[in-house]
Amino acid sequence: MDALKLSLRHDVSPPILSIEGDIDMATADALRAALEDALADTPDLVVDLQGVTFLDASGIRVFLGAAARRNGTGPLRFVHARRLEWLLEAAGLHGITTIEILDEGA
Amino acid sequence: MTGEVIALGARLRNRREELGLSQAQAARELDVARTAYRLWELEAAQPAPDRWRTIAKWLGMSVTAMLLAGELLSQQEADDAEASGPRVGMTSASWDATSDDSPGDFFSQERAMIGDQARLGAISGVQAANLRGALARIQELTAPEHGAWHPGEFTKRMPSSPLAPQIARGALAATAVGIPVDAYEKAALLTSELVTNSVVHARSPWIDVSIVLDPERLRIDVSDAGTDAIRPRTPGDDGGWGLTLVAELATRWGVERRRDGKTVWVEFDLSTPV
Repeated sequence: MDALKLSLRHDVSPPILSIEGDIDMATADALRAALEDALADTPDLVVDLQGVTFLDASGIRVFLGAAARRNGTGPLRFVHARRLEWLLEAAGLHGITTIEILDEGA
Repeated sequence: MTGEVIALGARLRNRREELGLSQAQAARELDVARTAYRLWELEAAQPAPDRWRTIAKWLGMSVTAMLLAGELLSQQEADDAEASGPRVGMTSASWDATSDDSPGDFFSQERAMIGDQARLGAISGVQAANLRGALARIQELTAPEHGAWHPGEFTKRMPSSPLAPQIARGALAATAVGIPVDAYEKAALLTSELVTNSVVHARSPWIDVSIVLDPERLRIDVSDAGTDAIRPRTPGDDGGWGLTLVAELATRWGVERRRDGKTVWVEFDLSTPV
């Protein structure tokens, strides 16, 4: 499988972490490590899922885990997250407060 | 084209009076708003092509006959057909290539009639091409009841590994080409969840994935040598998601246990989007 591609842009405010590729059990561990590294340096980043071609519960677990470990720095924010929103809703977790889905293009 | 031109509005009114119906009743029979029907009778508006088949049936005539008689084809369409003269042959060739769909009886009859009319000189070659184009649009707009996918099957044993979910999704993508996007997205997700569950929990060296696509239904079976328990849990960041999603998104699902393993299956009813 192609590895996930992550890229962090600091020249915009807030900084944007873009993810590209399929997120499933094969890529979840790499995503967890990369996401937590990025959040440690740049806690206010927004995760952009526009380049994500597939996302299943393995990926949601990574996002929920990272969001839960933020300790009072506010919810983990996402853009282009239609698929994430759909999955949270299907699992009955759309009201979860540790994740915030921003309007498209925000 | 020669022959008597009877405007569609008059034709509708005659038929309605013949049946002893009010405009409201006729509109109900044709499944349109009363206002729209009234405008058709007044010739103030024309029905969209996706209505033609229903209206022709109600009038007791073929679509071709209705179009010819009512001059429902616009001047613009006739001009387009004229301008695309050299493409006429290609148009009918590509038309023929798609004519093997099962509800094609109606359309092949219509096409045969157009061909006959053209040979008899009742309509010109341009008009014939024009009508074929209109028929293609009707076929597109009235989408065959069973949708645009071709039934098929896929069965494969794969090693239980973190790559298995992606392999299974690839198989689904190849097998389920053409099904509605909504059903495809659910199926891809649940295929991934079931195979992931097997890799994580079943401790089976292999996973069998079987995909069956029917005209009305998509079924995915994921089997392994595991005898582990299968029950949805409350989702959290530690897991418990897979079967919750299965229960929420599949039309039907179930578990079959055998002495030497188990199968978890999901089914999706496929309906042509309106």
